[in-house]
Amino acid sequence: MSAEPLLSAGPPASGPGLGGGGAVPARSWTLPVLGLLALGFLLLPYAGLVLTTPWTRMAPDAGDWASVRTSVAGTLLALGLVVLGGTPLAWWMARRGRRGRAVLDGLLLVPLLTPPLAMGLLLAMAYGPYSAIGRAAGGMGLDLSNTPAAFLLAQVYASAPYYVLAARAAFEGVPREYEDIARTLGRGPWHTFWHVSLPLARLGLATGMALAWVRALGEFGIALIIAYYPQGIPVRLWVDLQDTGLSAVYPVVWVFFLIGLPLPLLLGLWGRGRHVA
Amino acid sequence: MWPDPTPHGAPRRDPDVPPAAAGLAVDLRLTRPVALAARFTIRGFTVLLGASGEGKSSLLKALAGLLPAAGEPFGGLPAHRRPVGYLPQGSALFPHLSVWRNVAYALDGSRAERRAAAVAWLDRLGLGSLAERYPAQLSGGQKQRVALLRALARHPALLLLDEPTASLDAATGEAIMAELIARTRELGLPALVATHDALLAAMADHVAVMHGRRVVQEGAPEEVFAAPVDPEAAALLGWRNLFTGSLRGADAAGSAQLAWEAAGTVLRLRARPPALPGVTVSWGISAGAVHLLPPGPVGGGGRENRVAGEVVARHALSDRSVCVVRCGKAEVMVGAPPGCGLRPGEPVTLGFPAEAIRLWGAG
Repeated sequence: MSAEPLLSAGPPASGPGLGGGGAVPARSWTLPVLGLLALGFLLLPYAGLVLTTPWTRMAPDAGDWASVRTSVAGTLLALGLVVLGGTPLAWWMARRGRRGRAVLDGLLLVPLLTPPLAMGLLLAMAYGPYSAIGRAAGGMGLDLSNTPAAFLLAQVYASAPYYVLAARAAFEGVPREYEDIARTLGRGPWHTFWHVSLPLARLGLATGMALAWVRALGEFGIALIIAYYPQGIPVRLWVDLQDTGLSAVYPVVWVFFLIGLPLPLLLGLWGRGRHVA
Repeated sequence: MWPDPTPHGAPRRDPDVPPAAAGLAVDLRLTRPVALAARFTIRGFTVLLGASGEGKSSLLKALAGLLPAAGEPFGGLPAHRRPVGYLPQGSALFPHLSVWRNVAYALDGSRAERRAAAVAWLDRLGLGSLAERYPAQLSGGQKQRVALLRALARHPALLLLDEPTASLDAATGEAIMAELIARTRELGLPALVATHDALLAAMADHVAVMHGRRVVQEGAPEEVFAAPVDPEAAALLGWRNLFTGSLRGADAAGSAQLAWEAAGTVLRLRARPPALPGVTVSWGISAGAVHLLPPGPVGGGGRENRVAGEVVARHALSDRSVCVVRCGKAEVMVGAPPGCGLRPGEPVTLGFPAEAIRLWGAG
């Protein structure tokens, strides 16, 4: 009878076993190379833009500038409306009980997952001149197709679901303990929301705002159906492309980039904060 | 100046009667997330002793108004109207606020006023230099102290602390507790501390023992430690020597007897047995009450029951030693003098004084 000790202090068995060499994988170049290739592929179109831009013949016309003004003003306003209306919804969804949660989440996903063109058609049905809402709004002098109001509507519908989804996740990420503590420190729900929940959720809220900004600014499908006029940047680009060809789009594409990126970047920096260690 | 504002529902306190004597009666029933009923009194620095999972944290939250509960104190007041300072496990300082802003969270007024008040509080614990730091830059003990100041700055009428030493090393935990006790006594502020640590209970003015989702015993620490109400309470209070035995009829001298089957011996009792002969009961004896004697005659002569045993292990601490002695199949923990040179395997005799044996009814 050989009594083998259960825990042997001897050297690890050599050979192809688990304890053998090779536990640390050898330094491999495969993964970085594949990763860089994929990244290069994703960034290739941007290199194309930089290389093919006719820098000396960039002459945006009046219509181009009008589309930029329309897009910027509309997107700012739409973002404001989305944040104003979407934040309470996101908060409510994050803090309500488990009952009905799946249904509520599903309902929020419907507008998010609806293809833009289909959403445009739905909006035309709901707010168009032949709908009840459209007629009522028209009676009050507010026409909801091919007007600034329709443009705003398109942008709000395009961006709100993204903001609400991100904001809800952000609020869910705030440990309830902090809100509890604030309450035991004599602060009501409103003060707690402004001074605890909101600052702690700001990274996620900033992400949601950046997403909403890009969605609203770039919305084409919905705008094509219900807000062909006033022309925002996407519709203008499409019109330029149809009328003149690729050569005509360069100025507006560049402006598109210049106003599309800074806000998300700034929001990202704000959300990171100074001291979230 | 203390307590400062007494909002509605605050326990009324007679200024001439110290809070430790007046006491705050707690009678709460919770249904969610755990069903429990707790009825006890908070007297001065009170420790709520219970194993984890007993619902101590839920009870504290219910007292703070963070969980729905029926009963007293505070009726159904919302959390932000209760005159309570609550410290959850792990301090929960607001990570986005600097130390002084954390302390000033409950304070109103201009920025300068709030900052001055917060720094004054910080200075009382010698933490003024940390005012501009953020919680992530503090040690565990510093966080706990700042959280305490944050709760005190609101001038609560009751302090609730959930496992205040759980996330700290032993030395820091002890220092924090000593500081807490000193601070609350100085302020005349009653405190309720939930813990599973019997050592904290020993430092308290009053102890409430919780198990089976209710408070089973309360009293001054010395009373509670000396006479646990049942074996579970005894285990929570740190009694290691808990056994079962069966009652026997009285001997010639009229003393009841207990057959301790695990050690193969019969012990003479002094207490009146809680049940009829033949019934199996739980019994226990505190490690300090057992006498460690050299090998010698065994049996129930005199007032002490002597049982033969063999040393299994010896744990040497800074101020005392503890020996584990095997008697038959039972292991008994015995306090030993610091210089005791007993080694595992050495035979000894254990003396169980009849009056130190505590019996509990059939469990």
